[in-house]
Amino acid sequence: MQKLAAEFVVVADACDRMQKDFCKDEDALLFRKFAKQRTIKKGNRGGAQGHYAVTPSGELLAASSSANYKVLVEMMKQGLAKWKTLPREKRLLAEAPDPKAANNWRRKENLYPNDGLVLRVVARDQKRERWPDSNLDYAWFRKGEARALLPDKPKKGVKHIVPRELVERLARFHLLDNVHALNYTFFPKEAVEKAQLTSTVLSVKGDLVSLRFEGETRASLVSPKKIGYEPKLLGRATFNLKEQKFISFELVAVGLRWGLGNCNQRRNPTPALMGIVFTLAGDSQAERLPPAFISRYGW
Amino acid sequence: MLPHHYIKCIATVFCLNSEADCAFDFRHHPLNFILLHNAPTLDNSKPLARRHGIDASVGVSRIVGVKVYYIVLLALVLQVQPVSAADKFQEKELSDANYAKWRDHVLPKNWELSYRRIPWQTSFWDAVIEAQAKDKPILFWAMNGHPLGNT
Repeated sequence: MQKLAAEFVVVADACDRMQKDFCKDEDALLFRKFAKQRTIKKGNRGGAQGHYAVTPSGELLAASSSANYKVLVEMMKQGLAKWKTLPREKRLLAEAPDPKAANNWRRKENLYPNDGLVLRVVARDQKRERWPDSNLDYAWFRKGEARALLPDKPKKGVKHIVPRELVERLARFHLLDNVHALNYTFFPKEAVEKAQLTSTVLSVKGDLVSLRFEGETRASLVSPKKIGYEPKLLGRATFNLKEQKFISFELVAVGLRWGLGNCNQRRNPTPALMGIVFTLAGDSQAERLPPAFISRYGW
Repeated sequence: MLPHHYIKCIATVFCLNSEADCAFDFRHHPLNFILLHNAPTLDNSKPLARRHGIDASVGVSRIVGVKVYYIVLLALVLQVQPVSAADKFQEKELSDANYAKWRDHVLPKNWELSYRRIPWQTSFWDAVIEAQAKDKPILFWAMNGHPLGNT
């Protein structure tokens, strides 16, 4: 199967933007060319979601929308067989695609804070209701914002109140219920009732500042029914003063969530405990994906 | 994070050498095993027994074949103890005392991240550029929300 997979250039990407008819970006025009040829009825995951075997020129070779690996393998085999029947001029674009064209739709990606703080955010219920039972997103902080998570002059025992705007941003766009799927409902500013986070310097050893985080948030909204989350926050981190960056970071949020979201597949609105953990992200391409609500950051 | 069956599907196709290796996933979710291998009845036990390497037709009755099937199934279910423990996670309000338990409960296990070890291009356009240069077809996994992020 790995041999079969190696025959392809493999890519995972969001299709929300590309599937919209009004989107005229070059990748979207190419995407819709083959997505509209798809005829899957059974097991359609909604919209244009699914797996596609396609040529660089946008010819559909095969498609599936099944989570069964056997179906996917069969689809890949069919796609490859069809690929081999196509002449080169049908397989490839007449002109090489322009890498610069992507600048039109990569504004969010270009905001990646190279010298700031990038966190991976994972949410999971206390009690597993059904699969999937966790989800993943990213939270970004610019260099100055990351530095504002600790005191200007860190000394052992010093407490520092993290600027409300940063905690509020966490409460609005990251302390969300996306456990079962992407939740399009975020909290508007007025929905945030509490947003407090304090960092305490535990020690300073050379350039390394050890911190403890403690705080709480509460966000509540009627949209059109009640939805909210009220977690307590605890965490620990190490900041390197010389390099001006965090070298370790953990922030754990646990509290009751209630209500349903938008498209997030939650079926039970009853209040229940949900945990969200922030840790340092890696540096792979996937770990550089923008936060779901980056466009709301105000950057 | 992705639905479990999706992780299984993707990891099976790209990470593992053979279909048999896919068995690793059943340990984490017995329901998948049951869904993929419909439990046998007395009437159709032979093919299922064969599927599991049990030749029920050679000196073994179909009933025995069914029993063996369920013994195998029970053994697999018993292997899911670690996940069952996660299902019974009982910690309540966050405190210094249970901080690590909550953190470890929420953070994904290695197997949940298996699909991320595939060297995906994360942009369809980048894949088009690479495929055009290499004269190769593209396998595109498209989701609302990025499949490797919040989807």
